[in-house]
Amino acid sequence: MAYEFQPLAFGIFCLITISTLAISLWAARQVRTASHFYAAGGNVKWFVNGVAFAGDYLSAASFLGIAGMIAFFGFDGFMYSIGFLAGWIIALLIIAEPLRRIGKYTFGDALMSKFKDKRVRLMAAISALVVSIFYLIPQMVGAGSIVQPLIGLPYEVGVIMVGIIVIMIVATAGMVSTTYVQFIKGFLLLIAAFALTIGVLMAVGMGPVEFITHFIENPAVTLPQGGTVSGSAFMSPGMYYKNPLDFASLAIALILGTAALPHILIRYFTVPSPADARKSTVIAIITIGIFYILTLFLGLGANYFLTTDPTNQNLAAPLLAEVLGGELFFAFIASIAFATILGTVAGLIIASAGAIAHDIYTEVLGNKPDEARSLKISKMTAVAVGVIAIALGILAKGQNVAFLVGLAFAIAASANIPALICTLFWKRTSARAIIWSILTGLVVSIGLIAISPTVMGKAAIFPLNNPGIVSIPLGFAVVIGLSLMGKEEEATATDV
Amino acid sequence: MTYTVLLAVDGSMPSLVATKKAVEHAREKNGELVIMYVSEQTPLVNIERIAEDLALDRRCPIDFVTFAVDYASKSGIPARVIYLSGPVAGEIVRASEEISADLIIMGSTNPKGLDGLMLGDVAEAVLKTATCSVWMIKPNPEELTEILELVRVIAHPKKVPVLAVEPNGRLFRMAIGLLTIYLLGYGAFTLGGTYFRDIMSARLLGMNVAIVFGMVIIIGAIVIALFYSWYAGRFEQGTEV
Repeated sequence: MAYEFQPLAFGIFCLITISTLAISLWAARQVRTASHFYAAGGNVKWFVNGVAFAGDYLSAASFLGIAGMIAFFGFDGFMYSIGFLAGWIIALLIIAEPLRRIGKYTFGDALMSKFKDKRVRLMAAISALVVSIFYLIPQMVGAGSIVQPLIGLPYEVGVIMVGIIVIMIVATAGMVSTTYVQFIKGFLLLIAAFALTIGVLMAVGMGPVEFITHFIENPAVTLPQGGTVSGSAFMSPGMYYKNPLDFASLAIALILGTAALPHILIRYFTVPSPADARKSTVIAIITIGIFYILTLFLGLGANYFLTTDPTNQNLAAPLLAEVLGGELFFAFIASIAFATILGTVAGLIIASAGAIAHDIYTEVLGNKPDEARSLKISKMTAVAVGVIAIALGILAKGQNVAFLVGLAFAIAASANIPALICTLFWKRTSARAIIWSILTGLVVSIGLIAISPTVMGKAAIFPLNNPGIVSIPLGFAVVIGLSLMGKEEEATATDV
Repeated sequence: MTYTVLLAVDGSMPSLVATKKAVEHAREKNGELVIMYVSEQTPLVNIERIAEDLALDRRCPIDFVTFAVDYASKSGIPARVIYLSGPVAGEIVRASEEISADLIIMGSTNPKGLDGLMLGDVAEAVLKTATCSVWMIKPNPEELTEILELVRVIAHPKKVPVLAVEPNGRLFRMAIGLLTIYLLGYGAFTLGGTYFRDIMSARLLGMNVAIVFGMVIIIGAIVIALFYSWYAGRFEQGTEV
């Protein structure tokens, strides 16, 4: 598909992006200089943080990726919605409060509350960095995709643009208050999803259930990638994940991945008490859950109107907006998608910068906690991570962003979840076991992706696209096995 | 009536100098000192907190409220402390009215450039809305050296609030119970999508099993979250009071 520069759309896009930033700035100032809050007093903290959680979490994958995946592959795309939310229940019920109790700033801190071994912290920081970079790739792909129809610029320019904007924001502005950016972003996304859903249902003139029924009873659903398939097959598992185990692997990675994402974990350390951590999570689950139900209608709507670019699944939602409401609506949705990407990228870069500055520079290398130096190091990290993400984003051109995020989830879950759960709930866990399980999780999950059909195509050595079903249990096996083997060593290590 | 000085502190260097001035002024006037600290509502992550500390010149990592209390008691000044949270400037002005303060003393950091744009100047905002006199402290280099000296004498490292480490037993059991229910549902759904795809494509309620089951899993998550929140909240009310 060839795209041209659309001046009106671009103007609105600039307006929305700039006002999002301006409102966040204003909100951050209000907290200090206002004479009173217009919103309800003391409970603001966890409510704002809850919606900010949702904003941080609902990335390009949730908005652009899932809608595209559903438009192209029906039910298998919706599976992402279900799994992405499921992870939050784990976060709420067993991670949020205990994590807030033991941690101060980072994932590494939380692990270090039980172990005195610096290598644990080093591994935690490396894992945070690696997962953040893998999670950044899809965001970059989303950014590149959006810029094409909006400004008429090539994909690569879009990726570089987002990368540079974010590096600039993070590296120059002192990184104050991403919370408000995420908060506004969370609300905007909900509005966008509602607007598109209502638009779709009004345009087709059907109720929500009727619309789904229409699809299931359709003998020949036209696929954007070409060909037709029966509605019943389209709306059932198996269109994308032809190998049944791939479906199971994705399901496991998604439910365990959420509570292992570094940029989500650090949010838990921003609230004052475990109870606030819990309340924030509940708000996040409600916001995210409503959003994910709506994604089904965005995806089906994009398929119904065939508003898709066969070469780029990630444009299904914005192009749907163009058909429903013209250039204005398109610009509105594209801008929200762009703001979404900016917010998530900023969150991820801050998470990795924090891991480097706090865990590696100050704690592992034993430098004096000098705030000016820490900030400098974290800004340098932000630039470095940003550049790496730009490069990888360009390489990953053409992939579905939800699919890529699914991989990041698998890596996060494999490396962090066995370590986190055992640290929180199993007294016999040893430092050595934690180190090896994080390392195993990282290496095995990334290794399996490297030899999977995603990278190697038909010549793949590993048959599944998502490594979760192998690498997550392996991580658990390593942490449990090594802990059981090294009892005596552990007794001296933790008894401090 | 006693002469009341409201000292608003935030740990910045100007605020530490203001602490010293406030104690001295209260002693001269034979008045009392009210020390107040307003914690901000913004949830900040690690790096953001560091950036803010730097922008506001919080270069002494000390417990500045205790520092103020100790310095006042050393100087024989009656002092009390108010902790509040909310919009910082607004809370300071409100408190000054409530205690009918004769004077508000605070440090002005006035961050420059982008920092200033983001953080704003609390002292300026207080000055605009206050109903009593405001004494803003902008320390000169000598005063800064002086205060660093004083801090060294009355030093209190910053305290990190200790959180209860042990989780609540009943709440934890409820969490595990709910998690088991949810995992069973999610597991059944995954098994269906993996091995029983013909069952998943069977018609149900005008849709099919897969879609209905998926919706149930999503809505179930929201219901579980709300229930758990309600249960934990009821529990907290019972224990906290």
